[in-house]
Amino acid sequence: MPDFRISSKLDVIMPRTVSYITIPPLSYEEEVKRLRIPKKRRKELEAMVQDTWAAYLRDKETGHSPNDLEASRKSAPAA
Amino acid sequence: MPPQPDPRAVFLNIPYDEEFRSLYLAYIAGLYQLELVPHIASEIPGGERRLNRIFSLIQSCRYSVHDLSRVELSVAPSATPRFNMPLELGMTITWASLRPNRHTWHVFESEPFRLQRSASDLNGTDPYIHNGTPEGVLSEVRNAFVSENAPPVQQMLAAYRLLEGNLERILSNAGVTNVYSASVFKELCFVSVEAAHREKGNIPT
Repeated sequence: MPDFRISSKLDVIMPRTVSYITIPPLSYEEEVKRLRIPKKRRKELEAMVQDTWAAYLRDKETGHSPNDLEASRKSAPAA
Repeated sequence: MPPQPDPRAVFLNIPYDEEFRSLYLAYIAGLYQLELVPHIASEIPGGERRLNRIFSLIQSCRYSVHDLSRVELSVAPSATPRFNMPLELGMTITWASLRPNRHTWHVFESEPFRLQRSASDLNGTDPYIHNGTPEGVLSEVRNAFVSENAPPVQQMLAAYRLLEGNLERILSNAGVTNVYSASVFKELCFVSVEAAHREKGNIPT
């Protein structure tokens, strides 16, 4: 006997408001300028991201999941 | 008449509480991955009445995200319902009704079908359900803002992890514990921009 009950899959098939994004790429320089972070602090943040990012790339190359980023950060040298 | 909204600006109407921290980070990282720019109420300079400032911010943003996942009463006595998010959603709906080409709003929730009970006037509006997880937020943000340049969710998750992994250092430098403060929000945005552009190879690694 088939099950004709309305299932929770209903929420998947009901339409939702969708926004189609057709804007040009975000300019790195413009966004950084808009954020107005003092030059010295910006350098510190860049170094901090660089450390974490380098560890992430190492993990990526060795086949670790990006989910391991937290562990990567811990293994990265402090900024 | 206010000026045209920024086409990539997204107003985040979210609860400013400790439990929401990871989802907040996911919204920031996810939106930047989609070339969009998040905005929150605390980044607006003071002076004018708070409600007026929030309304101006909504008007300046092309999109908004309203996370109604914290509809329960506050834990602290005396248990109080949180009306700020529905209030700001109401303001947004009014503005979008008056100027439909200028603003589009999206509702996010953590539980399916709860919105029909908490705000039945929104029946016919199907929220994006994130299940209260950063992965859910990233995936649903990607569903709400469709772009042919959208990165895979795994890449968005990597950006989120990068943000999460550096949060304590950002807080420690600012000497605060409030992740929603303007200075911390700004630095979280900076880290997200860095992550998005590094992934694209725009910044030498």
